Amino acid sequence: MKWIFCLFLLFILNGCEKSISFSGEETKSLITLNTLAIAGEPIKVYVYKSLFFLDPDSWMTPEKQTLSTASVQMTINNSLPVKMAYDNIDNCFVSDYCPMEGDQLQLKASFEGCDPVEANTTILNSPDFEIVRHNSFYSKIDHYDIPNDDPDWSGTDTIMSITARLRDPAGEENYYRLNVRSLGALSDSIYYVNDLFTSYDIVFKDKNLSVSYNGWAAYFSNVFDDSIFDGTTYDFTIETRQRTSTYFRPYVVVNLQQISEDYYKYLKTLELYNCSANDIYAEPIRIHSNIKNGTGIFGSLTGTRYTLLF
Amino acid sequence: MSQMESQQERQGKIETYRKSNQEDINNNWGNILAGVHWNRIYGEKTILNTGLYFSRFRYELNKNSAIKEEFIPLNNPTDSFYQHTNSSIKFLSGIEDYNLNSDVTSLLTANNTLSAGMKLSIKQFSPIVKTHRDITTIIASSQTVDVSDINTGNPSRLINGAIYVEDKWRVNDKFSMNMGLRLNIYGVKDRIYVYPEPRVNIRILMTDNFSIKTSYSYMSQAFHGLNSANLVMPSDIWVPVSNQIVPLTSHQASLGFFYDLDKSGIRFSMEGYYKTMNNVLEYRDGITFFNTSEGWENKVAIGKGTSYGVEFLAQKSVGRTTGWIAYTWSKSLRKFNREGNVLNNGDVFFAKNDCRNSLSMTVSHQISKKWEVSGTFVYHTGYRATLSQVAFIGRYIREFTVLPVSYLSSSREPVLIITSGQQPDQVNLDGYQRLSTYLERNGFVMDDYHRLDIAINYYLVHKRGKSTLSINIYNVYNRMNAYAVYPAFDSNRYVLKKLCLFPFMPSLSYSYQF
Repeated sequence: MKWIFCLFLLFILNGCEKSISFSGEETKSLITLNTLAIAGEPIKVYVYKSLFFLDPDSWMTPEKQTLSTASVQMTINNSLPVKMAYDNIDNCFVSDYCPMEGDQLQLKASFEGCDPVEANTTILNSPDFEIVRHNSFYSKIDHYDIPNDDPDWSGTDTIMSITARLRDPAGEENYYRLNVRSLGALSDSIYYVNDLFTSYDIVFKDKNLSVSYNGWAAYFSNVFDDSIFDGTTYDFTIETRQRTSTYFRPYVVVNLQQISEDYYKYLKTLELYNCSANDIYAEPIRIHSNIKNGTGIFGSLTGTRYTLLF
Repeated sequence: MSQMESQQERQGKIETYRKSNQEDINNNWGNILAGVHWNRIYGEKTILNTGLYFSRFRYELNKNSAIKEEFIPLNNPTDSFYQHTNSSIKFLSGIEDYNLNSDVTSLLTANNTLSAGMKLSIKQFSPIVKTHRDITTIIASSQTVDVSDINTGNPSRLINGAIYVEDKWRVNDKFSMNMGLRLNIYGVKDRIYVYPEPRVNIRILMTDNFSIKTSYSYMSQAFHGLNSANLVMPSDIWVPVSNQIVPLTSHQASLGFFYDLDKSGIRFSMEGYYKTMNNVLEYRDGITFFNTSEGWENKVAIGKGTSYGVEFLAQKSVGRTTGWIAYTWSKSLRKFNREGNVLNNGDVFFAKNDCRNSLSMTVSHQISKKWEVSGTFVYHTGYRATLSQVAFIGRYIREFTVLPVSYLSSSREPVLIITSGQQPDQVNLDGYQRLSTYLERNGFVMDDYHRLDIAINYYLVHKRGKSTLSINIYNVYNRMNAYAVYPAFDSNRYVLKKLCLFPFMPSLSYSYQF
């Protein structure tokens, strides 16, 4: 009698967690295009097939999801379409054409079993960007205080403060990405590298990125729009760090890129995705895509680049 | 508990990857209600009703999880990476409500009844989310522990005052109408909202048995229910309006046809409705209550909603056996395309509570003066949720990705190793990332919901007053209706799991009226 009562209690008071079969319509595979058109450089198109999230093959490496036999063609400025050839080394489709500022590009791709996809972008003008000033601040590390006299600990810790000026065109929405790389050579083929920078400037603040990711500070993004300084000349200051060495004078490469709106939205959703990827309590994210009937991104960027010595 | 193990590529190396995840959930809720009501009749034509009421609603949902991840490089096990994450989240939703209502109804003429009234309510909302997370990371022999405790939300008060006037006018034998105007005033910290709300409904008696009714109303609501689109966590909490978040408003129109079958008490009806809503709320993409104590106002987007449908009803209200059966076809949609409040790319999407078909039946039979039995069957198509069903490859293209190409083992500083002919400032990590995305918000429909409830009532008459003893059984056949659905690992496979609550639940109640 007792066990019947316990069984009854178990029956009436339990919840359950159990595996179920997917009851909806399984999402069919979509063609994924990943392409950035950069002024002055050949275009590379990475073509994959998306998979249903419960498909065990969705964990496979990209080489196994590459659609090397897809048909990919590009149209430049409404001219006749050009078929792109597959490069077995880079596992992508390539075009010999190097786009120029103002070019309008259209990509189309098809593969058996998937809906054909297409996307458009326009090559943007390079941003009007200059370096106003830069200063280096040294903190010397005494070589003889390093335990075991480890040569890797030799050198000087250095911060470079860089003030840059951006002239934003008026009457249009512009989107930018700032890349900063500081390099210090250990030998002719090995370099200390740092791709992170910091800034107190409000253009780099993003309230949606509530967690630090990949070394970037929380609430910080190197991708921004012109809503704060539209049509004006705007100065901002950043700082980057590098450990110098005695082999070659370290330097910083600053690259401000003007990026297409779709690529900006893609990067923003990607940042949010990376911030919340390990948070099972986060709301789902829709990765922005301008690929009609597919996924991925067809973006464009044009950059202005400076090299600064420490 | 779910576990998986595989070999994966990370940062250019092949590694053994293990992940295990253990979770538990519990939720509690309760209501307290109390009220005092006073009626007074003046003459033969005027009634005054006054009531003072108190209610307190509490809902608490706790979820705890422990995730362990391990990356072990094949060629260098000492370079392993371990991460253990213990996290918990507690959703608290509480509403305390103090209400004072007073209504007066006066029969002005045989065909005209005027009602007017006032209401004063003070509501205290307590939407609070408490999170705890501790992450232990071990890389080779180095261990770091990162702990965070965050509380989001504060109690807030909403004061609502309302006055209304309503006229029921029987124009003639065939035509009657009910017109009213309500003025709602909402007060929160530093802001007052005022909403006049007109309403009208008209009945036309076509024959003795057949009538047509139509109505229109404009309404406002000063609190919102926030529904998570995350399948893992159903976390509905009630929040009041604020300086940033305005009340929800709606326009609703309906048209219905009603047919009474002689005097048997059987009625058939068909009624359609169309409703538009403004200032509905949804959580934004990627929002989390971890890592930030930023208020809930910054986690939501504001948009519009539309819902419409048609209901077919048959009911019997006379006799020892009474009941009704209703079928509803409906659609509920949302659109969030205001600047800064874009969801689902600005395209229309289904609301979470969009259930296309629903059927409900109630039957009650009076066995004798003392015994009554009743049963209720409820069915509707499953609730909706957002599932990131599309897995695809995203590439790093021309990026300074801040991922180091390799580490010097002793210093752990990132370095770049270039080959002959390469320029170090032009070397970009040509990598990839597995991504998952959803194509349509609330595009996934859970399993259909249905259950059967039965009740047995025993009535007693005492010298002073009467009492009722009730036995109720909720979900008689123990249908495991899905409360939440989420992806997880099971036997090294990625599967879909559902969480079921509220199974077979008997209850006993006793009430005494005097």
